[in-house]
Amino acid sequence: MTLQHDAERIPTGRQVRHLTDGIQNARAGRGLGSVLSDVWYAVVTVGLCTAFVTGIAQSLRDAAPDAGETTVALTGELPGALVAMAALGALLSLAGRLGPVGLGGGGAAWWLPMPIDRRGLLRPTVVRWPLVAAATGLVLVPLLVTMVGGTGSVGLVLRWAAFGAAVFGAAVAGAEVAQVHPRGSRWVAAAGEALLLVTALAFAAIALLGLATDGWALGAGWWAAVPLVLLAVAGTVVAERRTPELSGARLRAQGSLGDRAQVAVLSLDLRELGHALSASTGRARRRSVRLRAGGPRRAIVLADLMLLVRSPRPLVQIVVATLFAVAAGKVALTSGGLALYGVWLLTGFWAASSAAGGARQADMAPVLDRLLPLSARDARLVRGVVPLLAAVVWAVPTFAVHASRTGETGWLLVAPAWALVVAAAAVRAAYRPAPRWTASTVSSPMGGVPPTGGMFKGLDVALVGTLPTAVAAFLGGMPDALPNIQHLWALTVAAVLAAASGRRRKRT
Amino acid sequence: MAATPLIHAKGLTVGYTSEAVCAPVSLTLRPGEVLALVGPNGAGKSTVLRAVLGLLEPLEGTLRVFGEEVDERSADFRARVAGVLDDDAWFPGLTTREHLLLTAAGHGVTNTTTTVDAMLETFGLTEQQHVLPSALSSGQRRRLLLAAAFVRPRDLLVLDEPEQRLDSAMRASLADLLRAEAAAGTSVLLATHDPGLLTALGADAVVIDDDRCRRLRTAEAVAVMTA
Repeated sequence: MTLQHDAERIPTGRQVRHLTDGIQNARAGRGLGSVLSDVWYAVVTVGLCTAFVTGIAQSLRDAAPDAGETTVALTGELPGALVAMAALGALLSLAGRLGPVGLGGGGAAWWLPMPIDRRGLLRPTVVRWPLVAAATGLVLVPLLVTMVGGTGSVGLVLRWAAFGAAVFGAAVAGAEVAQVHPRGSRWVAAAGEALLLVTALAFAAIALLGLATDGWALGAGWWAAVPLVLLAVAGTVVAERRTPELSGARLRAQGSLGDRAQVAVLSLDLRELGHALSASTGRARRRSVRLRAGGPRRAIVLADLMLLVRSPRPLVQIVVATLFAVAAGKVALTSGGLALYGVWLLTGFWAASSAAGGARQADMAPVLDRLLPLSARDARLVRGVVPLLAAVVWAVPTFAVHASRTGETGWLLVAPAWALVVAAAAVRAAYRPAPRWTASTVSSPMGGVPPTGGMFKGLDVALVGTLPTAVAAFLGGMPDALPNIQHLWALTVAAVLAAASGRRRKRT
Repeated sequence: MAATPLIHAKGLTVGYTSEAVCAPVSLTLRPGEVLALVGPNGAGKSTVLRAVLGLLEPLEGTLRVFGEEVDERSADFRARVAGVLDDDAWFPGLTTREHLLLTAAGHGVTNTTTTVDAMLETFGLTEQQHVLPSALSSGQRRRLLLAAAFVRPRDLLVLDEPEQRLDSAMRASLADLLRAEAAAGTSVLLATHDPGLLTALGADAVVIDDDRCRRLRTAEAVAVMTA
């Protein structure tokens, strides 16, 4: 048998993609009917989302506290816009870390080695991400503006929806253009983190200085978003034209990372999502330190500290979490009560988890801890030191500001207990068990997902360990005895957790 | 006059961060020649192959394939180089046969059906041709990957431990196929741990280690592998 070929008959990337999709769709029984059904589903979903956001905005407007009767300072469009900007920063950081353009799985293994044009092959991927980002902005931005600012009307929601979609779409299109440069994605991620930090700083400054934000309003109508939409379209076109400049290695690496993150999201596996987002695909500059002899505990702490400062990302996250917690008391929706407690819980857990990279690495490669002359329990306890430091950085200003605002020093006294609890929660979350794919999957709108009993591991400890503060937040004041109760309770929870940690996991 | 080398590497240093994974590698591969890379696990054989395929940028040194610097973005480069690494990824909705037909069509093969039928036969996959890869054994999936490299035109074949997960009969067939490739003028660069395959191919080998890299004749290389 002689292989015959004709270079003139090499198909285009588009043809190869269509051929593959055609066979796969035919096997999956996807015809015109299912395409129309998908379109109908999309239309209904967008309609429901719009109604949902408008409804929330309307109810927030009705329930917004009267500025004259409360301590709420942050009302109007500005604070919400700042939080939306922070969300944009997070989106850019994510886009930079995940690609955004990549080709994983079968595409990477079977399409990329072909001598076909990659522009046609990757066109849908390039177009998809700005559209996904635009859809996210369409829903998220008006929601944030109305929730944070405690204000809302149909006109305002539509205006911010248009702006959100345009800005988010343009940002991701820009990230795609930058991806062509070898360091472009890193720059995009860094720019996103800088934006996140700057807007969080501005948000906290306005809250702390008590600046009036009511007078600020977006002067233009929804049509002002048109130039941004054009920018997003132009960015996508440029990115699509420059696709052939992306190397196959880069496309494979980013695609693999994207696949991991996507599977983690669909299976609600936060542990794997954390691993995927902290993975690096490019060459990274590594700083190293010569560890001085001082015993295994010192070695673990120094290694965890080294990991913390290796990238500015966790440090930025700790600062941003602190700034949001500090400012939350001035936001209409979270100015007091259980909502404020919820913000403390999530931001505290976020700050401590950002510093728990060492524990996550140790969970991924247990051999590292086994090399040390420490029991599994002792190793885990020592892995809690760096998250504890981060938690202290978060807790002290958060509760000091709240104590100063309410005039009750008891709030400041609970800071050490909170730091201990959220650090313990972060370590527990880092050692969260992997989902059991071998067990029966649970039916979900996204298909079968593995039972993730460990999904809330970590957050559960934060919740239980801070129950006395939850009571105080619910009551709206800090009784004299409560700080001591909180300390005793936190120590008990931490002690129980320490006693239970390091036990061999039951295999299923 | 000696033919122009297809691959020419001099002081080639490869690694995944800024750290080199092995000693600098120097090698030359001429048209119709088979050359093996041997060395212990983690020696850097696969990393060198990834650099040759353009999937990894060299840290230092010279690497020229077809007389030019490696640029995997070039369609001409991809048309001439077939690589089989340790990938285990598939289109979940395509059968064994459809994967091969797609590969052949994507490279402009005109007699796709006869070519694919022949390779299914050669690699013992005829009975599994209508099966989805998820239902194949790991050895059958390995055969499918190898078959994909033979249903398309190539001037250079790069294989990473092709003997992995193959039974002894298939290893012998693979050796025959690779000898036929070389006889037809295709160059073969492979990493292997199998002294039997190396002996059957009668190929020179570049032994890669942490501190040095040297080219040996078949018998000497086999002696190093079995030491």
